[in-house]
Amino acid sequence: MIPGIILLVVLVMFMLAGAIPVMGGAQVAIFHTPFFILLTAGLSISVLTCCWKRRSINFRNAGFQLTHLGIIVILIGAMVGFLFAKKSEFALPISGEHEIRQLPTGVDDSYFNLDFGITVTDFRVDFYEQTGQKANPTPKHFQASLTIRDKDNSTTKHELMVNHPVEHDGWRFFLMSYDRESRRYVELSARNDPGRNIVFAGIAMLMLGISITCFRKNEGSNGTV
Amino acid sequence: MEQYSLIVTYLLIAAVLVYAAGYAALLAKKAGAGNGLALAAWLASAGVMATNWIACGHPPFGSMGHVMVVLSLCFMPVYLLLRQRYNLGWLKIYFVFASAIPLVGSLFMEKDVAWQRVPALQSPWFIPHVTAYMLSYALATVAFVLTVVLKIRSKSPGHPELLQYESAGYQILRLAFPFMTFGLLSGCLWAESAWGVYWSWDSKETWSLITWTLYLVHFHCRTDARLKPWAATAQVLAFIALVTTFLCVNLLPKLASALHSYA
Repeated sequence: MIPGIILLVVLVMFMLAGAIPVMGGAQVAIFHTPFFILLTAGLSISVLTCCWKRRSINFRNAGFQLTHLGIIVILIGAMVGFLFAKKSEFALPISGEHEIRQLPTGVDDSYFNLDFGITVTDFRVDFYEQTGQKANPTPKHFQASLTIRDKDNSTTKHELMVNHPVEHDGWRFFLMSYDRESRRYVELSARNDPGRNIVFAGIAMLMLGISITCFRKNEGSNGTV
Repeated sequence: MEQYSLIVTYLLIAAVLVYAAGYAALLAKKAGAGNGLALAAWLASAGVMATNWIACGHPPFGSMGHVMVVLSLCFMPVYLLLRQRYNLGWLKIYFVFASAIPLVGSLFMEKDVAWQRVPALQSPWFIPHVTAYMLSYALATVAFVLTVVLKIRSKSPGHPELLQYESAGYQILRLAFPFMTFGLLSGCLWAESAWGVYWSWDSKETWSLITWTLYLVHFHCRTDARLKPWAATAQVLAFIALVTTFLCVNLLPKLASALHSYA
């Protein structure tokens, strides 16, 4: 177990380095370096070795295995996302006419081609009542009406709100913001992440495993976790 | 709004003073008076939370001043649970002491009673995410205090109750950890539905993962004879990271978190 602990400590030091603020948030780049990826790979191997050594089928061990394998599954899902996820951030005019079928990748001038087109037909925003000396009212709620037109020309309407993404053909669309001055466009973010469901499965395993391990009646202060 | 702000301030001062009186009563071994005072102080801080709730019209979890009151409210119910389940009734005095600290913090923070909940915070995850974290922070604080008391007392010989401290601290952390994990993971799920990314290395996120990992190191150190001497150090470091996650990331502008600018 000592190598595993050493890796965890190195991981903590890495994260400390990544938490030191640098202008423009550049410190985050450390988490995309090959060294960090090697470190998580090393941790995965150490955790897997641990699971293999303690393989046996009983309820007590189920918590241990779920916790440790859950972490591996999350890391695999994150790796899949790191390698294959498509992400895009873009603004879309609120016009009902302007349809987009390509999303900017953010790198150079390249695009992801979609098999469908998106239009924003309507946009509404409500504000809180203005109190005190605040210059700008806080938005209480905003939502955009989207129309998605498929290849066969069939259209579906969706209401896009913050915290309520719209899903279509593997892509998920998120409402990020809107044009505060003249309300001419909305800002969206789009993801197509094949690792998402893997990560969520890992999250479920980890949560279940830790609950079994920690809520189990323990055997005194020297019990294993 | 002015009058709400005043009610909150007076109630906070009252709650802190009554907790202090309860602590003194317990130190003087007057259990009855101590219990009564602790209950009165808890009710006063519940009054603060109720006033905040009425003033802003949402669950008052959004600004640091609000959340500190919620944290303080978590201590006594957690104590009752521990007394029931693990026979840890003798910890009362530590819980009374710990309850007062966040209230003092809240007193010195801007009392933004009319806090307005932006759309990103309007999610079913809002209450479970914050509540789970506050429960785990309350538990982790008590475990930390126990470890410190243990380390100080073990310098002088002849304290048979120290083994009890050790075991109590461990049981409390075991209870805290699933809540902390839930807080972390529910944060991922919430971030995914709001922004499309379950993890973005925002400074609050990074610090919360540092905290979680250090508690993980602590638990693993406990299980290995060679590493056991390091367990207490890992716990102290984990608690320092916890305080950094909870307070410093929001209060120090240098560490500012873009995504968690509310609390």
